[in-house]
Amino acid sequence: MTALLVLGGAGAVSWVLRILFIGLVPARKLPERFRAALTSAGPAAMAALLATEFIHTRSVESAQLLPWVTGAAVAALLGHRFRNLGVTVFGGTLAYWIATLVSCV
Amino acid sequence: MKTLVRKAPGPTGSNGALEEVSTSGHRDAQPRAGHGIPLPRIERAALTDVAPILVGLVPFAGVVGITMASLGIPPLIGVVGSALVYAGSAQLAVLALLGSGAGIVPMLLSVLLINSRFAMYGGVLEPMFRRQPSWFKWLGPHFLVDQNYGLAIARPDLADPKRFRRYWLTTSTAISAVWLTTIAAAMSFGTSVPENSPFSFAATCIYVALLVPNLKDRVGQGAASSAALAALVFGGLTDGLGVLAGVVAGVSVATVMKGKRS
Repeated sequence: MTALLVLGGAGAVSWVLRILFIGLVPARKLPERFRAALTSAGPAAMAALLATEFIHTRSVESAQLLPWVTGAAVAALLGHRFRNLGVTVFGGTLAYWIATLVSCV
Repeated sequence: MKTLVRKAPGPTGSNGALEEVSTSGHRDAQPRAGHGIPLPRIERAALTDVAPILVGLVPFAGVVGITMASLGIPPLIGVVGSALVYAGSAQLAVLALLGSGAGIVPMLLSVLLINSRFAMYGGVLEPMFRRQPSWFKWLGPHFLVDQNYGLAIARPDLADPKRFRRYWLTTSTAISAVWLTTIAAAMSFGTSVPENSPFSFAATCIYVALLVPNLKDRVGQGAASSAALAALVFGGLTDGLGVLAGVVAGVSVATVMKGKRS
């Protein structure tokens, strides 16, 4: 029961954050400068998520650092060239897998 | 009545083709080749877009499920709780604090910190939720996560409210089905894909795929590089702080760059 209460509370906080600028304080009522700034939240968040994954890999799974960098670089090249999510994910994962095998030899 | 429009580029890379649409704004239902079940085009496009993401979700959901099982949380409560939180990173942080016997306040603060980026995502998606029915305006954002946010902003063809609603419901249903089913399986059978399996790297590739198209101008490059730098600096200090620091830094730098440009 404690777990459900905790997760329920976490869910409530998450929901409020999600609807904050949609239903509670609609973004259209915010200053133009703030709304324009929000459009950069997407690339900033993706870059930050990648950076934190890099930190995690470097500190917890250091043997996976080279495969991680290889896979991410291949995914970036494929993403730039093809702009296709499937190709990027498949190619990057394949490169990561091959680099993992090579680093184990 | 139908007209030809240029098909907007999507994350799947299907750009540039002319496509027949009804003047009501949404694609007509088309029978799926080889099957008798009609699937409107936007649902098919959503499923095509979300399919690679589902592969990357499985290992993450497995880790969440195994973590909850190791804390002695019953599967039913684990699945219901996961559906309520619907955010893996925040849930793992809460579970770690629960396991260490921390109080409710630090747990909720960590959720606030880790999930605060969802507020910014909501601000960007607000025009798409504006002309929606009330039930969707209040319940739809619950399914807002990094992945379907990235998919939605990569598709400029979702201006029509009905079309956006169908797209959002399809991607959200697929993501939540895979997320919750995998958590339930991991909790019930103790199965989990190893954290460093090739499948777990699919999530990283998704972030790369969603980031790269945003790097075409200097503002996007500035936002991404400053966000990565801030996340590298602050990410080593506290779990969850890295992403928030990155988003704040990225948005701030982009605002300054836009101000200088204008």
